[in-house]
Amino acid sequence: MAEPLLRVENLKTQFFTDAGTVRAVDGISFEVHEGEIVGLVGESGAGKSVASMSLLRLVESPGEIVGGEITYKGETIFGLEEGPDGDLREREDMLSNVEMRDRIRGNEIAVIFQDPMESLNPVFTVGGQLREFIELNRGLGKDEARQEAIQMLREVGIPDPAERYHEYPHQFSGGMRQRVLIAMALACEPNLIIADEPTTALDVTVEGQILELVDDLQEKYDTSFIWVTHDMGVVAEICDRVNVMYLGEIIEQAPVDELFHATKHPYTTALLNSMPRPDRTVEELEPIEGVMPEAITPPSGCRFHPRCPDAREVCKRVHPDNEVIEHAAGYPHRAACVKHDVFDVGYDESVPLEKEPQVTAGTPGGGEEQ
Amino acid sequence: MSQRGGLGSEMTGEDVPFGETLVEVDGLKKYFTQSSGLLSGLSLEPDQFPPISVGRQQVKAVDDVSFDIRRGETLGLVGESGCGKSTLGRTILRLLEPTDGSIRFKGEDLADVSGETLRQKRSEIQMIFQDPQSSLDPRMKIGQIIEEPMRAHDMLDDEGREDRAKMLLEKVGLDPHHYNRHPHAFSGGQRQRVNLARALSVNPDFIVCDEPVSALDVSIQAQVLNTMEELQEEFGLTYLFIAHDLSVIRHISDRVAVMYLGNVVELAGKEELFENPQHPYTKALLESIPVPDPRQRDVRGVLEGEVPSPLNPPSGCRFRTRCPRLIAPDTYEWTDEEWDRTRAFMRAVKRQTFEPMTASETRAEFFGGDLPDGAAGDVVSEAIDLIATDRTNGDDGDEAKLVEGVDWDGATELLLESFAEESICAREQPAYEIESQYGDEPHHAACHLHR
Repeated sequence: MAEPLLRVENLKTQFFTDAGTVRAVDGISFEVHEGEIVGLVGESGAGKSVASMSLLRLVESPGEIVGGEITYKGETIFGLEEGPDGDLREREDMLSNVEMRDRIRGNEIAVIFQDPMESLNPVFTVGGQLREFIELNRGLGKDEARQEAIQMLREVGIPDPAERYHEYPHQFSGGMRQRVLIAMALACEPNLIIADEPTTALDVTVEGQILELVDDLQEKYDTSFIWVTHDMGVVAEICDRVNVMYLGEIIEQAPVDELFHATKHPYTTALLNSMPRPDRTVEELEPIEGVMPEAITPPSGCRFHPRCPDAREVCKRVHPDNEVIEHAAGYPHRAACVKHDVFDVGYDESVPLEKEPQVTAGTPGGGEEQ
Repeated sequence: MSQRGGLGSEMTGEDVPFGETLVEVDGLKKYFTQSSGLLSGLSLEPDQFPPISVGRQQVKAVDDVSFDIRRGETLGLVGESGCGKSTLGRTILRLLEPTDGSIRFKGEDLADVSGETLRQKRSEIQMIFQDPQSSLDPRMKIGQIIEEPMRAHDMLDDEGREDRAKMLLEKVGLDPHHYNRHPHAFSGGQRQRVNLARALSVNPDFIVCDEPVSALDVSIQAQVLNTMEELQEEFGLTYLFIAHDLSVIRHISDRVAVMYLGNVVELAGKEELFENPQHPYTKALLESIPVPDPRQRDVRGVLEGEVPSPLNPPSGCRFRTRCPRLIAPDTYEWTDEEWDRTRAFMRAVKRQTFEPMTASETRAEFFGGDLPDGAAGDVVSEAIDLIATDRTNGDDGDEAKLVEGVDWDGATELLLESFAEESICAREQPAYEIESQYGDEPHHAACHLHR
């Protein structure tokens, strides 16, 4: 297989707070190949946004990338080595901040955020902002950039683009603003776009329009995407391969069909079973018991074991890595669960964990407290 | 819909049997007047005397909505943001003053009562809000929060209230020992449970739930939904469940009402609505939900355009400006294909989704070179000329000059006036009852396709 566009290895990002160290991203590895849409999915607090911002080195104090390696097209975005005094220091081939700003962000890797109002400046016209962005990043003249901006607005389906070029962000609806951001992200024809929950704030019909648009544009420009979301429906709709995150770790990684139809991790299974479905009536929902613990004090062993229906005694002790369980469609299907044979840590002989008693009988949700 | 209206006066107090109408909303309207700025209501009309008129623009948030809710059922109310579903919920509770129409609760019209009588009534109807964070006072302990409605309605003594609060904490799946904790100590899902306990404290019959789970993660959402269903069974509650998420609605509702721009466009039993939707808007809505199954990818349908402003909603059927099944005006002779092409062309012109090109190119692009026959074709041809890049000035033969720029507005107006405004969809308000294929609930669909 060809060299991936982006390779992330054992990435760790931590936040140093008064209350202790929050291991928001704790050793994740994944790859993005050319022209594919890779999903990063998880509930709030799983670390998916921190992970995606780490890729652009946009983590701010008190957060810091403390380990791992990020390689983009053979260039090192982040990498550490051991210095002569035994301390870790940044590698020499790591891109400088100036290089990141001038060459990588926007030109090579662009971002689309969830809230378009936050990413657009309310006191400048939409067209002006788009034009400036194109002018700066592609070195075009003002008029040329203007033409290009209008062309981009039309491309992303904004009606009457020449007229709306002169309007301000507040005159656009949420869906239209998100289209502007997509236009901005595409303007420099980047190879990779990180989309951080770009449709979460939108209505379902508008979401449908945006997903359709991304599909079309992806086909046309062959851009790769990292699609960050909590919505399994969107994942099923748009992603080629998926990484499921739980409490700072990737616990399952698979091509999209295998993830949904040959699920290997109990958390993914539980997540799928807890969702009401639009396409059929589910009589009884099976919620996941409890809540996701704080990343500041993750549980021992497998981090999902306190909520896991399949948990056994061994799960408390052994921390599973994200191992390859099988291969599907040319890609590995990985899962971090010791119930699979490759781990060979005595899961079968281990005793099932006693569920902690419910707060009240008869309310399955009662376990939420612990 | 109001066949049970006559029963209203006989029903008093507590005894509405299960399955009978508990709440009956009839012709409910809620208009908001726009009042931003002193002169905003003024408009200048030079051909009139006096040339200045004071008229307030009205946002028709809820416009002529009628339905009933039976005791013990969950009526789901679904729609996109801005369709008026929250306003409807609040107006039913009389948190907002209705502009017109009636809300009969156990036979009594809530739109008429006020003051103390209304306050008393509020112990029977409660509300749960979307944001579990902002709907709890951060300085109060959750015990106090749950007891407050009881205190307001003079229920029980101090001790009795505390016992009831603790009992309710247990019922909603929280630890009664947390009685003395503050809201910040709880997660979003748990706070929503506190909200549930507070709503239940005064023993209501009817609860309006406004997006109660949309701020929660999926796994927590399922926990809270299950608890709500159990409480409904145990306390014999009736829910009006407002949500934008069709999956949640499908799970929890018995019947579902779909709202679009202030109108209920379709109302039917749950299975019927999801399996046999009859309004094009409902169909579009259902098709645009991403289904959590990668093997069902290709069935996505995409709705064009955006919701029009409720300040000046379209006449007739409000969905007609986006409707993929807009009915052909019968003032012209059409084949289906001709109308489909004309409609697509009309929408494209209105939204200016293509670069202007020459008349023959436009013809080829939208009509495959073949314009509709007769009068309709003449209108289309005229519209094409208005936006053609090789447009000439008049028909004076050799005098013809190329006209700079194209007249999008003129073409749009011509097409809309000749076709869209002539359709039955623009001229009449639709309201039809059709036969259900799933279950025997009446199926109401506001679409002229069923005329």
